[in-house]
Amino acid sequence: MATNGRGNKGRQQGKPKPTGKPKPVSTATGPPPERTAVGAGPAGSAIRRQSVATDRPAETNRTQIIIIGCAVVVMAFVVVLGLVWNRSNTEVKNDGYGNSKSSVATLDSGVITISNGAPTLAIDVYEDPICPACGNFERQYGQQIAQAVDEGKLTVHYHLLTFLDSGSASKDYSTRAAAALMCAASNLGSTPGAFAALHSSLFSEAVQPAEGGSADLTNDQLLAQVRTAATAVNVATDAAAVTATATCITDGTELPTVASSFATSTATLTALTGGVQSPVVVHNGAVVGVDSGSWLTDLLAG
Amino acid sequence: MGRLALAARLVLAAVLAWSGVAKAADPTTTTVAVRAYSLFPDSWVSPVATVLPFVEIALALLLVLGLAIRLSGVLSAVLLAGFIIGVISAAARGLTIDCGCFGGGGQVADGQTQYLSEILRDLGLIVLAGLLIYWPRSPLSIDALVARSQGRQA
Repeated sequence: MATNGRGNKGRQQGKPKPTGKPKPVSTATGPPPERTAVGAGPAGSAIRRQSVATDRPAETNRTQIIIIGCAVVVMAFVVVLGLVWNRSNTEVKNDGYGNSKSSVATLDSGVITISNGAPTLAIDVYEDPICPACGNFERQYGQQIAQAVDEGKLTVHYHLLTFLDSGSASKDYSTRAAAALMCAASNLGSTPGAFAALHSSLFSEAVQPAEGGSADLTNDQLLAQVRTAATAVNVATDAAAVTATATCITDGTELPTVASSFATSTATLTALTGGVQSPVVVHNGAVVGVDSGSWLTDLLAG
Repeated sequence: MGRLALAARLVLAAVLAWSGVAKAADPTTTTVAVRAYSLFPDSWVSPVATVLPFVEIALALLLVLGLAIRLSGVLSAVLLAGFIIGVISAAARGLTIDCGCFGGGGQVADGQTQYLSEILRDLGLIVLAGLLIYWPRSPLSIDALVARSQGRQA
């Protein structure tokens, strides 16, 4: 051991105490050979080993290959494990349930509330119509929320944000989409499932515009979504409620409500999270972590 | 020098583990952060955002274990260089985004970007990674353990 320079060095680093006095001597002579050996890479260490004349370079190379192989295996293992874990947290909940069918929607001071009956459990959902994470949230948990709402177990208060307006092609998509949702809630909200159908369609992968994308929905296209949602719940597209929604959208009736409710939400979110972000789910005045996958199940279980 | 390398390993590992865990814990935000760089085609954004955090965590694990230290140093340096290129390109294109280095990310207001400090921090970390490439030997590592047992066999 003592004749092997490497063994000696390893000892010194591992437990520096026992070699109290010799240490200054060895550090004075130590560094230069170390530097050339390690600095020159595997080849260099092989050369050094030859000079020490204890190991064979072939064995060192084989060890190196085994170590690197182990490292690759560890990396692959961690990444695969992570992906599996990630998948379990991003799987769509209650897939196949579809939109809420029995919920009615009301608009009060810019807050859209959907429920079936008067459940005691209520959550507040803060979302921006163009926010990609909100789209993911709706696609992942929307059906689970819909089922809980339909079963009369959950009330949802939607607070629509517009802070990502600048990320839309028209620079005001969030505001217009929020206004369209409010128009639908106030005019079509009493038809079970009508608002829920529009809401989930605006966050669906096929409809939601990309943040920073080159196109979004015009008011006419938003109106087309309203008509599709109305048709889905058997309301004729020329029904009074639909034409009233159309007028509301084209006249921009709810735009001031969007602005005032966004101001309120900004204050609430800043107090809760230190800034405006989305999606944020709030229950009993506290932010609910929605990355766990089981947050709603946990809330419903009480 | 060995102890310096050990410190570099542990600091790099801590930073990578922290950023990896923060990103992994909030996959939707990480996707937003990756997309905000506008460097990848849409179909790549999600895979990159999904895999990246776990690559960081895996690298942190290798560094803590001291397994294949030089390789870990090279991979860390490559990763960090990628981050620096991303931030520089974001700055050069006039994007106003947060780097999302430790979770978070996405668009921020004008004047709230912190590109310079983000780049300097990553450069500092690259120096640490470089140290590990230059000087992979350090105590409390599997590499050292293997090397020592080989020395003993001889």
